[in-house]
Amino acid sequence: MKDKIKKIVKTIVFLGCFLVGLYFICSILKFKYADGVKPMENFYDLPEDTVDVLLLGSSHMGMNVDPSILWDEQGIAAYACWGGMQPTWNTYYFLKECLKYQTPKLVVMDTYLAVNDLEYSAYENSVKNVQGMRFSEDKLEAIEAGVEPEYRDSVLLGLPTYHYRYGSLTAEDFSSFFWNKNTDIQTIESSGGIVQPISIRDTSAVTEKAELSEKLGRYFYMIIDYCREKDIPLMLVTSPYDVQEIEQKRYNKISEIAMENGIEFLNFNNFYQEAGINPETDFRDPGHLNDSGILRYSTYLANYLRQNYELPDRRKDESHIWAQKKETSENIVFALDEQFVGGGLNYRDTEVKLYDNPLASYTLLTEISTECDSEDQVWMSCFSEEPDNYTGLLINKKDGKIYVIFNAISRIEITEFGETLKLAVVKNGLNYKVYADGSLAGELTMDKISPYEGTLLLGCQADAEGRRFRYSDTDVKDLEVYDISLDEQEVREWEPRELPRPQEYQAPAAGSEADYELAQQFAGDGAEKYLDTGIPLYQDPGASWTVMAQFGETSEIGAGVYFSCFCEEESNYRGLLVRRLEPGNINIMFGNHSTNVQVEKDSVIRLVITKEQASYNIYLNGKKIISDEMSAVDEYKGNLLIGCQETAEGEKFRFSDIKVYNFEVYDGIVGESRIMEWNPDYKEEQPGKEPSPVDYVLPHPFLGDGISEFVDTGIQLYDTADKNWTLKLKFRKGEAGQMLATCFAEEPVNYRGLIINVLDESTLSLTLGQTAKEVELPPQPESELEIIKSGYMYTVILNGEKVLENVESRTSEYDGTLHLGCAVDIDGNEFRFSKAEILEMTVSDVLQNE
Amino acid sequence: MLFNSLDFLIFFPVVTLIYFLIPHKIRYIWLLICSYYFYMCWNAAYALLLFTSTAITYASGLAIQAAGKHEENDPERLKSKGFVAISFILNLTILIFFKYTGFIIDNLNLLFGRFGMELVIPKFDILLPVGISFYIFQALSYTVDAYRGDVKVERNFLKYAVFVSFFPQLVAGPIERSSRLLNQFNDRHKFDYDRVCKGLMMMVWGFFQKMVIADRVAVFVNQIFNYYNYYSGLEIFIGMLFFAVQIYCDFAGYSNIALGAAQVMGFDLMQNFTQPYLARSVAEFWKRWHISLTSWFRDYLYIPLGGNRKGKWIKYRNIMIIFLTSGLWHGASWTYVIWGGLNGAFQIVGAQTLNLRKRIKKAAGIREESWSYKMLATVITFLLVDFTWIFFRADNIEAAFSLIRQMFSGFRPWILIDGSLYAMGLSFIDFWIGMIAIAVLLAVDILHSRNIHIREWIVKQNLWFRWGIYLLAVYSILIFGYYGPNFDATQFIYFQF
Repeated sequence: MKDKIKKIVKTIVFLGCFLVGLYFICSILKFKYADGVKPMENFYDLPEDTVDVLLLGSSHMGMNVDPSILWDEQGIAAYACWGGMQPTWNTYYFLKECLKYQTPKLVVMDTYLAVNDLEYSAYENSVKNVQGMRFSEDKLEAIEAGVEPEYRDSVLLGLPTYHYRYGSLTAEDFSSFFWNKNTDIQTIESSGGIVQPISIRDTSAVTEKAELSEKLGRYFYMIIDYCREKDIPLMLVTSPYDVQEIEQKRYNKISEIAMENGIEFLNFNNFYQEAGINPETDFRDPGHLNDSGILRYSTYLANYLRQNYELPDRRKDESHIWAQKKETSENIVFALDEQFVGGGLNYRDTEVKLYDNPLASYTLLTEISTECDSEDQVWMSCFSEEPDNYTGLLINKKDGKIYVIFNAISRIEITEFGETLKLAVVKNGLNYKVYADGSLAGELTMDKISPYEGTLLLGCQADAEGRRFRYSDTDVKDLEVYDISLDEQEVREWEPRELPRPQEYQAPAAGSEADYELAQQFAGDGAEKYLDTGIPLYQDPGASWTVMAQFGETSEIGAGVYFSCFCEEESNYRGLLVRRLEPGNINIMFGNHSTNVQVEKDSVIRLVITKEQASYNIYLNGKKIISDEMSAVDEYKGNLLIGCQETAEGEKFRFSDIKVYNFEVYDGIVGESRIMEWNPDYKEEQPGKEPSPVDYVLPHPFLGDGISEFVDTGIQLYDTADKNWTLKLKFRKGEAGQMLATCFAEEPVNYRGLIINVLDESTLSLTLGQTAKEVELPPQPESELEIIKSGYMYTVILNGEKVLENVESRTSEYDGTLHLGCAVDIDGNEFRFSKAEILEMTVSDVLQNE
Repeated sequence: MLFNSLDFLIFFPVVTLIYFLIPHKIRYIWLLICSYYFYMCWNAAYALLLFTSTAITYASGLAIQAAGKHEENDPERLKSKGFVAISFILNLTILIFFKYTGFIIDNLNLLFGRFGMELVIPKFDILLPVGISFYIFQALSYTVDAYRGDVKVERNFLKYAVFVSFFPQLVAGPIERSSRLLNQFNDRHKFDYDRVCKGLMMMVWGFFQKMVIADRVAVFVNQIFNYYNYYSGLEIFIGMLFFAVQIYCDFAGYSNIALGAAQVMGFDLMQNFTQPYLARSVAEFWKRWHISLTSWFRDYLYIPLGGNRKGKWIKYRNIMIIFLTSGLWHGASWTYVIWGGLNGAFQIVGAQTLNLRKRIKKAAGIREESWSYKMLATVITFLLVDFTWIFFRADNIEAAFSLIRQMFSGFRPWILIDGSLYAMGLSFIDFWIGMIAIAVLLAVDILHSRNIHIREWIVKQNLWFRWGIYLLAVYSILIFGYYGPNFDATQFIYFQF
C-alpha cells in the first residue's frame, strides 16, 4: 500500500515536472504575432478599469487607429483587440473575453469584415484570432465557431500549430513568460514613409442594400445584442479603403441596422475628406493607411470621440497606468542641451520636423534673450520660403517687436518684453496659441496648413532650396519641443532651465606640423593626374583651418582647377575651389562666396586661405586680399584634392596642368606673420617616368580567325603620355570591320590610345589619342600604313602618301600593350577578335619622318 | 486512427485505464470493442471484412477440429486439408479483390493490348482496407496452426476475434501467431508499474522514430523521388540513404509503438525488427527485418514448398517464390515484385558464391573476425538492401531505372557544401536535427546488438537522471516531431487584411 502511494505520488510529481517544462516550451514556441495574438494576450496584463474605449475589428482597426494618438490628443484610454481578417465571430468572442476583465465606456468596431463573405477565415488567421485567449468556455466556443473542424484539436492544444517554430526563434520568443507583463499603451509601428496612392470610388450612388452573409451577419447581431445586454454603447466605423460596390451595398444594410438599433455608424469611405485623408498620400496599400494617414484618421477619431461621447481625459488621472509615464518625458522630441548663441555665425539644426504632418500638434516652449544687434533677426524657424506657400513657424524681431509668424498674413506680435522672454507656441490641429511670459499673447485658427519637410533651425532660416540664410545674432536660452499640445496650465507653469552657455569660441592656433604637406613637386597632366590630400576640410562646417599653397601659374591655355574641396551640388555649391579662369586670372571660391584675383602670367603664386569657423582670410603673395569675410555653409564630406575637382557623385574631373611646389594644410589658424613670411624652397621634382623601349618586328604574317586568334606584341605605346614612336603596318583589307591593331584604354570616362580599323572597302578608321580620323583606302587589297607619334602629335602616311599631319591629341598614360587582331577590355581581357590580315609590322622609337 | 494522432493519445489511456479497472473476465470483450472501434475509425464498413475473415478462420478451426486428427495419407485428412484450402481461398479472394483488382486489370489490359484486343473491364474504385494484408495473414496462420495442431482450437468466438483484431498490431503488425498471442487473452494482467513504464518508454521510442526521424527525412526523400528528374548523383544517393532510414523508422517505429502499447496492457508481442541494418548479409537482413512476415512466409510457404531440404536449386526456387510473393504482398505493383526479386536474387547469388568468396578471402588473407571486415560487410549489405529500396519507393519501374541511371551520373560533391542540400525541403536546422536523431538511432541499434538494453539501463539510473531522459525524449518529440497542420507563415502578412 505504501509502495502504491509512493508510486502515485511519483507519477503526479513527474507529470507536474512535465507540465512545467511544457509551459516553458509553449511560451517560447507560441506565435507572437502583433495582430490577434499579442493584443489579446497583453490585454490580460492591464490593471482593472484602465480601458475606456475598446476597439475591435480586423487590421482596418488595428493598423489604422493608433491608441497612443487617441491618448496624446484627447487622453482617451483605448485598447485595440484586433486581429488580421478578424471575422465577426472572433470579434464577438474577443468582446466577450474583454468584457470579463474591463468595463469600457464605449466599444468601437470596424465593420470591414462584416461585409465580407466567409464561412471560416484562413487557418492561419483563425489561429491568430484565438491563440491569445485564455482557456475558457468562450475559447472553446470561439474555436468551434472560427476554426475549420480538421484544425480544431490542433488549435486548442496550440503546440501542434506552432511547435515547428524551433527553427526561427528570436529574442522576442524568450520574453513571453507569465512574469513578463506588457501594460504599455498600444502604438502602431511606423511603416517608414511608404506611400501608395489609391483611389476611393464614389459610392454615393449605390443606395441598394444587400444582406450580410449568413454567419458573419449572425455574429454581427450577436455583438450588437451583447453590447446592449452589457449596457455599453457600440459605435461602428469603416476606415477608408478602396471599397467595392457589393461592400457598399452591405454597408448600406449596416447603416439600416445601426439606425434601427440606435447605433452610430461612421463610414469613412463617404467622408474621409473630412478627416483630411488624402487617398493620394495617406495609404500604404489599398486597405491600410500609412503614418500620416494613421495620424489624420486617429486624430479625427480622437476629437470625434471627445465631442460625442463622455469619456474621461485620463492623462490627468494620476492613478491611470498610462498617465504615470509623464507625457513630458514621453512626448518630448527635442530639448536644448546648452544655450544657443548665434552671433551671426552659428546655427543649430534641431532636426525636428514640425510640419511634415501639418495636422499634427506640437508644443514649443522656449526662453530667448530679446537683445539682438540688428533688425530682422531670427531666433528660430521652421518655415517654408516657397513663394506660393509661405507657411510654418518663424520667430523673429522687426521694428522692436517680436513676431511669431505662421504664414504671410497670420502672425502674433509681442510688444512688451524684458531682457529675456518666455515664449510658448501650442499648436493643436489648425489652432495656434502663443503665450508670452506665461500669459496668452494671441490665438489663431488657420484655414489650412501645408506640409513642410524642413526642420526647426535656431539662429537662421532656410530658403526655398533649403539653403540657410539670415544667420542671426540671436540667443536661445532654453528650448523644449513636444509632439502633443500641452495643457494651458502646464505651459504657463513651465520654467526654463538654467543651461550652460557654450564655451566662447577660440580658434585653435595651428601647430608647426602640417596635417598635410606636399612631399614632392606635383605636376598635373590635365588628363588624369591629381593628388588626394585625404583632408575633408568641410566635414565640420565650423572647423578652423589654414591652407597654404605655392604653385605655378603656367602659361598653358585654358581653364583648370588648381585645388578644390568643393561640393558640386546644384543649388548649394560650397567649399573651397581655386582655379584659373584664364591665364593671369584666378578665381577663388570659399564657403559660398567667390573672388577673382589677377596675377602675373607664368609666375609662382603663394596663396594662403584661413578659415575660422565661417570667417575667411585670404592672402596672396604675402598680402591680405580677403579679410574676415563670413560665409557659412553646410557640411561636405569630400577631400581636398590637388589638380582636379570632384563631381557630386565623387567622379574626378576638370584636371589641370598645375605645377605645385609647396602645399600645406593645418588644423587651426596659422599666425599672420608666419603667413606673410611663408615662401619655402621648392620641393624636389618628381622623377619623370622612363618610357619603355619600343622595338618590335612581327615575326610572321598574322591572320586572325575572328574567334580567338590575336598577337600581343608586348609593346607599350602609351606608358608615358608624350612617347615618341613609329608604327609601320602592311595589311590586306579583307572583310569590312576588321580591327587591325589596338593599344587602347576602354575606360568609359577616358577612352584613349590607338585603334587601326578597316571600316569598309574604302575606309580606314584611325583613333589617335582621343581623336578619331578616317582615311580613304585605295582599291588594291594591300596597303602600307605608317603612323608617327612625336610628343602629342600624330602623322599618318598611307602607301607613301602623307594623309594626316600633326594631329594633336593629348591623352593620359595607358600601360596596355599593342594587340593585333583584337581589342582589350578594361579588365585586360582580349575581345572583339577580327579576321585581320597583317603581312608585316614594325614598331620603333625612331621618328622615321621624311 | 493512427498512432501519431491526437485521437490515439486520448484513446489509448482511456482504453488502458478502463482495461485495468474492469474485471479480468470481461477484459477481452472490452479490448474487442476498442479494437473494432479503432478499426472503424478509418472506415466503418470495412470492419465487415475484418469480421468475415475472422469468422471464416474461426469456423475453419472448428471444422478442422471436428474432422479430427488423422495420419498423413489418411483420406480423412483430406477433409481437414479441404477446410484449410477453403479458408485460404476465401481469405485470399478477399485480399486479392480488395488489394490486387486494379493491378490485375491493368496487367490484363496490357497483355491483351499486345494482341490487339481491347479488354474492357470497368475499373471500379476500391479503397484499400487498412491493414488487410496484416490481419488476413494473421488469421490464416491460425487455420494452418490449427491444422498442424500447433494451437488449441479456440471455441470462444469473441476471444478469437480479439486475437485477430487486437488494436496495437491490427493494421501494421507484427503479424502474431495464434500460438503466441491467443493464450495471452486468458492471462491475468495486473497493473505492473515497472512494466507500464517500460511499455511507455517503448512507445516513446517508437514515436521518436516515426515522428522525429521518419517523417522528417520523408520530406527530403519525397522531394528527390517525386522530382528525380531534377537531381542526380549525390542528391539521389542521399535520398536513397534517407529512404532506408525512413522506411526503417516508419515501420519499426510503428511496431515499437504496438509492442509498447501491448506491453503496457501486459501483452507480449514478438520483436519485429532486430537492428536489420547491422546485418552482414542480405540473408541475415531478412532474419532481422519484419521478422513476423518473413517467418510467416517461412512457416506457411517456404517449408510446405520443400524449404531447403530438396536440394540447392529447389531451395533457390523457393527463395525466389517467397520473395516475389513477399514483394507482391507489400503492394500491388511490379516495382514491389522487382524489389522482392532482387532481394531473393541477392541471397541466391550470395549462397552460390559463398565458397568462392571464402577461397578468395583465404587467398587474400582477409580475416572474417576483424572489425574492419565486419564493418565492410555491414556497409555492403546495407548498400545492397538500400539499392533495392529504390524499387520499393519509386512510383513506377521507369522512374526506378531513371533514378538509378541518374544516380550514377553527375557527381557533384559540392552540393554538400554550397547549401543546395538544404534546398530539398529540409532547412539547415531540420536537416541536422534529423542527422542527430539518426545518430541516436544508430547508437541505440549498436548498443542493442551488443545486448545492452537501454530501457533496462535507464530504469537502473537515479530518479532525476531517469526523469530527465524521459522528459527530454517526450519534449524532443513534441518539439521536433512532424505533426500538426501545415502552417503557412506567409499567410501571416497581416496587412493583406
